[in-house]
Amino acid sequence: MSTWTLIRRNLGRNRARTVLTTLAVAFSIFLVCAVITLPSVRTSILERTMNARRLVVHHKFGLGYDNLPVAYAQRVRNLPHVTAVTHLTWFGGIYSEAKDFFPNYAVDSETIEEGLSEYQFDPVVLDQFKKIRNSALVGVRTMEKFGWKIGDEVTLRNSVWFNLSLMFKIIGEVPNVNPMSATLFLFPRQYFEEALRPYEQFNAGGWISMLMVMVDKPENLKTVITTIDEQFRNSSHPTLTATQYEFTANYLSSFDGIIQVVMLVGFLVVASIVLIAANTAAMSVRERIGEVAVLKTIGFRRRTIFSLLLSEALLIAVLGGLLGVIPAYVVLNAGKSSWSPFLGPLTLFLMPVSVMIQGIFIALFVGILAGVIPSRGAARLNVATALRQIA
Amino acid sequence: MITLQQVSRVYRRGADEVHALEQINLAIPDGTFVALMGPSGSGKSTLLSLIAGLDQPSSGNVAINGQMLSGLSEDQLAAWRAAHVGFVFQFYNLIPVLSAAENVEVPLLLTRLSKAARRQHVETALQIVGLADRQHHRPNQLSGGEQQRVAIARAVVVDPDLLVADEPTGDLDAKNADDILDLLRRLKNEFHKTIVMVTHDPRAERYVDQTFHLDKGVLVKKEE
Ligand SMILES: Nc1ncnc2c1ncn2[C@@H]1O[C@H](COP(=O)(O)OP(=O)(O)O)[C@@H](O)[C@H]1O
Ligand SMILES: [Mg+2]
Repeated sequence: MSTWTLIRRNLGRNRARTVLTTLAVAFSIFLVCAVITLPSVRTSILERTMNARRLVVHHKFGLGYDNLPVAYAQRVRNLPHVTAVTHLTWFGGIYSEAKDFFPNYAVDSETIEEGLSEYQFDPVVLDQFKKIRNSALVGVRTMEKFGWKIGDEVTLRNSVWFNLSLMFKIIGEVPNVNPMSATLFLFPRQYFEEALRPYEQFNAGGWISMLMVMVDKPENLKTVITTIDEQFRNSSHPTLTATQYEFTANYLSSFDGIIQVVMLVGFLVVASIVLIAANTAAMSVRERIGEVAVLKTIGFRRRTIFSLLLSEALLIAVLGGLLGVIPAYVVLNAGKSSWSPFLGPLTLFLMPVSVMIQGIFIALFVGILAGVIPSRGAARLNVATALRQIA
Repeated sequence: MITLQQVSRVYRRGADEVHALEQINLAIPDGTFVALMGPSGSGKSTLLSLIAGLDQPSSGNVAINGQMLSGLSEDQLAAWRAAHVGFVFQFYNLIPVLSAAENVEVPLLLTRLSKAARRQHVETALQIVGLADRQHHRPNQLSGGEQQRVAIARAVVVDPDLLVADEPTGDLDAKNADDILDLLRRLKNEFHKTIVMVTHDPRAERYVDQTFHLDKGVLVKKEE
């Protein structure tokens, strides 16, 4: 037998309590890892959607404020340093219920390949996309969400464009190149314009939501931004041009408040686990005060008793920490794995190894906070008084 | 030799002072088995704590085999107890999650003995108390008498000079009480232990060499 045996047996004394406390720590550490990693979701969305040479152009007062004339595409294409331009038009279609939101756009099938080059569309599929009037390309996540498959015909209703209802034939997937792409629904603008022909007197088919502009070199981005916005400044539809990075960052900043609230909740959870663990540690020490008195009587010193009892708390904490950190690492890095399409937004987390280490340290800290006071109390026990209570 | 000179112990309870022991003078030669008797609250446990180095007197001196206990720090006292004193309690106080043998081994965790040497010590101690065949049992699988014998094995495993016992038969029936008293006497006879035992048990007088009577913190010597 060794001191270690004593610690182990004491942990086995109330197995349910030990297991539950360990799991509570594990669960909270898992949560803490997710919370610490949360800001990385932003970064990874940014990094994955960003193209260093791309500019996004929309109405000066915002994407939702007004559209831009379709003719802008050609005018921007003619500017120096611009190598490709394509445009997207927000359709706002819904499939079943309004809450089942997914981004669907009418796109220019002729320019989409060069305008969104990182998507690397399959040439065969792209060819069909150009030929089939009502074709649609759909991201995997949206396909799964509605149980669609290639070959299906689906109808989207919309309330933005004269309450049009359009029927589409899904001919392929949008390549899954970034977090946005998995949700996209793209269809040829031609079909959209045809459907709007009855409303020609409103020039209904003459609008786009935004331009995607490729610039020859990153160092020319600034010049091109100024040129574009200058060009349309005094028109009826002035523009705001930004790098794709700024555009996405700006869009994501609307989630900052939520992220902060989630982080706060996460840390409150840890705080409450500390309190629960402290109570458990205090209880398990109190139950054994008689034994502690005997050990002290026999000649165990304060320090020995203290380390014996604290080790129990630390062991539970570290074990719980490992049980929290390892699954967290696996789940929060699932984006890198092959089953990522099935995990939804979890794939956006990118938990670095350093967060594992932080998690273990937080667990240790929980153990120390919970264990120190009761262990110290027991170690300082006055033997003669304690024996009087037990003997 | 245990010697107490002018030993008093005063407890403070708020504004009150409780004189648990007053001016005790006492000498117990090595290798004797003595009983401390007296009514409840007369100071028996207090006296035992002072002899065993669990508590310090308010005034006076306690010396065990020439070692003055007063003036030792808490840790020094702990080390002294670990090497020189074995303890037996009324309610055995074994650790429930350890087997009999492991309970006996606990005091050896404070020594530098090898694993093999420790096992040897444990075996010997369990043999002395007649429980060699029960070494793998947990306390709750043992009778009260057996648990007390394990506790005695734990007390003697470091081979201390002094054994102190506070009402060791208080929770046992007559048969088991006799066995325990007999065992203690054997420890004195065969292993030359000095044993100080607090007891209410009138039977004890047949086993001990000398009885000290306490009353209200004062020693009252009765000649027999
Ligand atoms: N820690 C303490 N604080 C205050 N009073 C105490 C303390 N320990 C013992 N006493 C008092 O000292 C007296 C002697 O107690 P004790 O030695 O336990 O007697 P006994 O063991 O003979 O029953 C009692 O009056 C008891 O209440
Ligand atoms: Mg008493």
